[in-house]
Amino acid sequence: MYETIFIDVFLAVMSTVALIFTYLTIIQKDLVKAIIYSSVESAAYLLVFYLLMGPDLALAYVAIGIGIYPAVAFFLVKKTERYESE
Amino acid sequence: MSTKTAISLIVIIGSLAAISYAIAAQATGIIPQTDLRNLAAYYLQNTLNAGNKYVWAASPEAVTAIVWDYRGFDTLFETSVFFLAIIACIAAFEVEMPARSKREDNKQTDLGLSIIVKVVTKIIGLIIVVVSASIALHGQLTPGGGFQGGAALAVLPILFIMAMSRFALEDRKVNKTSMLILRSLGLLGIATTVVLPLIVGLLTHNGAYIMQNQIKPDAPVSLPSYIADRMMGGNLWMLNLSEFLAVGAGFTLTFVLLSLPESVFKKILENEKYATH
Repeated sequence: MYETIFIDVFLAVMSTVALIFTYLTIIQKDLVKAIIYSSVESAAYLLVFYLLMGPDLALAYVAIGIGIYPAVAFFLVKKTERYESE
Repeated sequence: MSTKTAISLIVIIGSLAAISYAIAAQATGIIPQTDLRNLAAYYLQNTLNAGNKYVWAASPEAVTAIVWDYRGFDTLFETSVFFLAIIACIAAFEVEMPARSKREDNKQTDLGLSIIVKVVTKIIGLIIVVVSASIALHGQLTPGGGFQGGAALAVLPILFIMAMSRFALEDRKVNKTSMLILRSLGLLGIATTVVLPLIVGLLTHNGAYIMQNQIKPDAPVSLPSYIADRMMGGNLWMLNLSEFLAVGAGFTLTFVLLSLPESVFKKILENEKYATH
């Protein structure tokens, strides 16, 4: 019983964390920081997927959301500009 | 942070926390259905049901069984989409790999981050290879599979590029050509596994289907479900291994191309500009 409540609360907290970091990603003008916020969001979703019993999805998400997608975005920032202009 | 931003942030977080709390406290009733749907029950009952070999997939991992056996053609076409995306990437980066200058050769030991980061990257690199291989090759037994393993493997070249520069990959023979060969081998493996039952059926004068895994009532061709009392899930492990190679090498190829310095493209563009005049 306590375990279920813990999982529910943890899910709620993790989705809230993901939402906060999504918002921070959108408003951030420094694109490098925005990418890092975005991967924190991915990490929060990773835990959500794992707790919702989708380990297959979580395995793909850890590599793509935290590893490959930020790396591609970093390459992009490196070849353009770091700061978003108004 | 301005007052306006702070207020909107508080409103968003507050309403989301309220909704999350309401859902967690089950104010909306139980959202995830507690009893299985018929389709889910069918897959769970039949993936490892050796009593009815016409519908089993010889694998305890229902997700891999669905991905490569029951709904195998979806995955096959998904793989071809990924293959076309990589081809498009190669076409967009259709440039000669620049020869390394003497200066860069001498400088190479100084490139990248500090020696501590380099050593740690090498140790982590070994772990990444082992973990990704186990994700892919155990795909028929535990959560995971070819795509997940390949994606995990592709983190390795990124770490190497970031910590030691692009030349570290080139020195280890990780370049456009070798990755293309590896990726084509993976795709060839998938194609072979897909038509393997047909070939076996032709040779033994039996009916067979494309991408068949275990025997069907009118097609008595079956790929090995056990190799030396290890459960292999017929074509599942072959497809996982091939997909692992194709995805890992495909992503690595893209990163090798993306890490080319800007000056290379500028030079090519300028040459083209003069050539057209």
